[in-house]
Amino acid sequence: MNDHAHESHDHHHEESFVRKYIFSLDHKMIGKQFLIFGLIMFMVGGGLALLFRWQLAWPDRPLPIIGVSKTYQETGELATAADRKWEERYDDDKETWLETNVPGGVIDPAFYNSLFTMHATIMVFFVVVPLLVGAFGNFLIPLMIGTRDMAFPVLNMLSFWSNMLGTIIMMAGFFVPGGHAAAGWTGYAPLSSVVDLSGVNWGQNLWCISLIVMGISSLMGSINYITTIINMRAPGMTWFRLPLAIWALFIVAILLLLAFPVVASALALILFDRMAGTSFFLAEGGGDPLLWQHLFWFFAHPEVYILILPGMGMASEMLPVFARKPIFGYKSMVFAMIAIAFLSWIVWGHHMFQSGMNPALGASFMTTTMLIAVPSAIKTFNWLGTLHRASIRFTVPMLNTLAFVSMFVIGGLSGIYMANSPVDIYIHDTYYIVAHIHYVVFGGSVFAIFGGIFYWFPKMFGRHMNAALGKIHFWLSFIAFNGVFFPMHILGVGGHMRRIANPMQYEYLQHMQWINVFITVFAFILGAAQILLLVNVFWSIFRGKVAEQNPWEATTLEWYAPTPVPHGNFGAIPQVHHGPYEYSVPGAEKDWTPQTEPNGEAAHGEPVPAGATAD
Amino acid sequence: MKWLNFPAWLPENVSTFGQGVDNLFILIYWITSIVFLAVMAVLVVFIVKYRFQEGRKAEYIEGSTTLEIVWTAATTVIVFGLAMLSLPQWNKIKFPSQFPGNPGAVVQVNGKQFNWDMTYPGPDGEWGTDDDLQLENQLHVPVNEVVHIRLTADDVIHSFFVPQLRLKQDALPGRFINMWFEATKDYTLRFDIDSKFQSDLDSGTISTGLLLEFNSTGLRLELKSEGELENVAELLLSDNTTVSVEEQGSRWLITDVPTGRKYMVRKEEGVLNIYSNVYEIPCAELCGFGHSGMLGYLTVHTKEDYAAWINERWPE
Repeated sequence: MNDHAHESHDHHHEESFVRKYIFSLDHKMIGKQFLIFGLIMFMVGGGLALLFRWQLAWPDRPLPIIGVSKTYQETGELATAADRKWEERYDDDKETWLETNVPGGVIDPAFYNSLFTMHATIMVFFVVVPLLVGAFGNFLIPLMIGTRDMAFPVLNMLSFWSNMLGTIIMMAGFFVPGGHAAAGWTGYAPLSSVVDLSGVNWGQNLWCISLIVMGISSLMGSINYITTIINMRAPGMTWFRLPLAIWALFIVAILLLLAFPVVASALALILFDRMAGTSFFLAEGGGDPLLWQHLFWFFAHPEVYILILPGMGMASEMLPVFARKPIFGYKSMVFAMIAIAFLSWIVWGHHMFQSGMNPALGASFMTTTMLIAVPSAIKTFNWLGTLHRASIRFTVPMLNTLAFVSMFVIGGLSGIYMANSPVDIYIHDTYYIVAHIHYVVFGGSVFAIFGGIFYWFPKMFGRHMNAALGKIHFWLSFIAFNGVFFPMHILGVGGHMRRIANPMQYEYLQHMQWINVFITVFAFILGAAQILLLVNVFWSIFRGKVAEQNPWEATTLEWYAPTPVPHGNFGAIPQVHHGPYEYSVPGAEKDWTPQTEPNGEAAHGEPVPAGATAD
Repeated sequence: MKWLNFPAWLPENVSTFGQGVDNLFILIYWITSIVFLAVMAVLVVFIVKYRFQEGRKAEYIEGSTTLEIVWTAATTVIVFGLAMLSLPQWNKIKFPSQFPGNPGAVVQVNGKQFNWDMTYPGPDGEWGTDDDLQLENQLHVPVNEVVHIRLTADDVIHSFFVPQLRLKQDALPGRFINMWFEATKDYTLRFDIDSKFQSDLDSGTISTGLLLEFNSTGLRLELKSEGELENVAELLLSDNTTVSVEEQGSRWLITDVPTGRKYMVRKEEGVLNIYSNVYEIPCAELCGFGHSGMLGYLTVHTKEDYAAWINERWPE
């Protein structure tokens, strides 16, 4: 029960509302701030996707609701709306925001480019990273390693608020003349670096500035994580007793620390090109467009692993809990993550096979890229091994985790097609890659996030989420997810380019148009299902069933802390006796042995008091 | 299940190296499908067999070094093998030093917002001279001959993509990137025609024996001799299309207007050929607000045709 924790810490921490909920220094509150922020941005990013999915399924048909615009109702004209827009593109006397971007209710081609650019930018930088690294990183690291807070609480608060600043800058881009950034989330120069080539002016500038600010936010977070994990582990918490989620977050923090400066400087170069007349990426000025791609992918490939490694870590937490078994091959799981992180620095060229870089480089990048299959396979087989002879409890977190494992398998296997440079010649820049990235990041990371939210919610908010609603949300999401993204493989094999606004302009794509319609229908179901998640989260914060201290009967330290977790987390800092996954230990009375209890001796009742070094 | 049979969705391949690409695709398809099905089978069996049951406890298993070594080694061997198998194919398509020589055509392709400029160097073989020929979005090449392309871009990065050739290459401003292909197919339909029809064609009139008729599925082409139906061709056109038929001497150019796809009906050496030898050249790299719809056309001619086409432009 740990009542002593309340007694010793509550009374001298009576904070104002602003100090407690807004400019909080407490890692738990900052984690929750990131969680709510990420969920809201998840809806924004998903909404953008629904807009362009409509255009892809029914090209140049007016949008529902928005589409019933005055122009359309008055003139009844649709087909010409886009054409008119085309001619008037550089006219300055624009009408309203809506008429500029959705003339006649139809998504303008330039706006279409902004939509998918911002969908990806938001999902990568404002949803998955804030949720995985910001929310779970902040909440879990001090709790799981057994310490009272992050090493640098002020830096932690600044990390969240610079993240908010970056968000405001990014969102402002939608409302500046010329529209928002429209060069893809990859922002290939010179489309992104020359105003006249895209017609986008401040939108792209704000995009660059915002991402630099977001990078600074991530740097502050990562320095904090690294320092905290290295220096502040509880007594007995050796490196190989760390939960795999912490290992994943530690590795990710290192990746962020090393990768973001590269893209920040590259973004600064774009800004110089756009605003100071330099020509880093312009051939006629002695620059090189490929330079951007090298800099960007040198950052963005580690970034892709930043998007998946914490998901892997969280899945590795939940799987043993609900399988009631130790994780299979703990050390090889750790080494596999380290291998993935290391390889992530030497594979960026596989994004550039067709870019015009020396084909000899293509050959070597193909080999290193193929090697990533090895640690990925190790992880998958270990997850399977964890289920072997288990006693599986199909809770909502477990369902999401199992979805994570199986969807990651598809995402991993489809990656082999792109890694193979001759096959990539054909499927590069098609929907095949769109399917692949979504199987990894949505099928993988986002399902891990769904599971993680449900799993740690009782510790975060002291209440349970609704399990029935959670199951409905899971099944709807899982089925709709596959309905959306699996057919994209087929589109890709058929040669359907990504980033085109109207597939009907191409004769060879017409026979597949019904697949686009199919995808869009499921996309709307997928979007609608996420409302259930939001409802479940916000309803449960206030009305959920009150949670006990260790509802899942898990072994790691966060469940040793009282619920709700007080300021300072633990009464006395716990002493760690063994690794994090001691489930169903032979001879033990119960089927979990918390890290705070000596193994085999199976203490029961009250947790063993903290070690001598505490406080 | 066509849904799961990825290779069935590949468009027709019409280039010499395309089959190599397709073979690798199919090989990876089988490897990944087998791995996927195996993993899923194990997963499902475990989920069902080891679900929570009263009275049964999970077993305490921490791992197996043997298994770790086995699956690490197996995966390494497979992916390395795949990489080694793929390298020659990659080199063949992309390494300039390995390009086949004696090109039947050499063309500079220049991507610009939002068109492809094709420049033929003319008889002097040099670009930038008076006898250059520049065409917008039209690339004409001979069948069964190597074509060398010098690819560049004016403004932003574009990507030259011909799905049926299995060829894709980004076009970079400020760089010339060389690529090659050899198309193997120049026509889709071929009919024998009789002498009456032939003389009509020779005199430049559309024979009464040739009936062009539009119906719900597209353009129906009927070939009649002496009032007897001899052969029928159906050109499947897009829905609600409009078709323009243009008479050009002894041939007819039929354009499916909304898609821009062209069909050519022509008499040659005693046969009537219907060409649908026009492949689309979409731009595969985001290049601005007009990216969608940036589209060129590759016309693959017979050798004789190509010679005639060249001759029309540079007579001699």
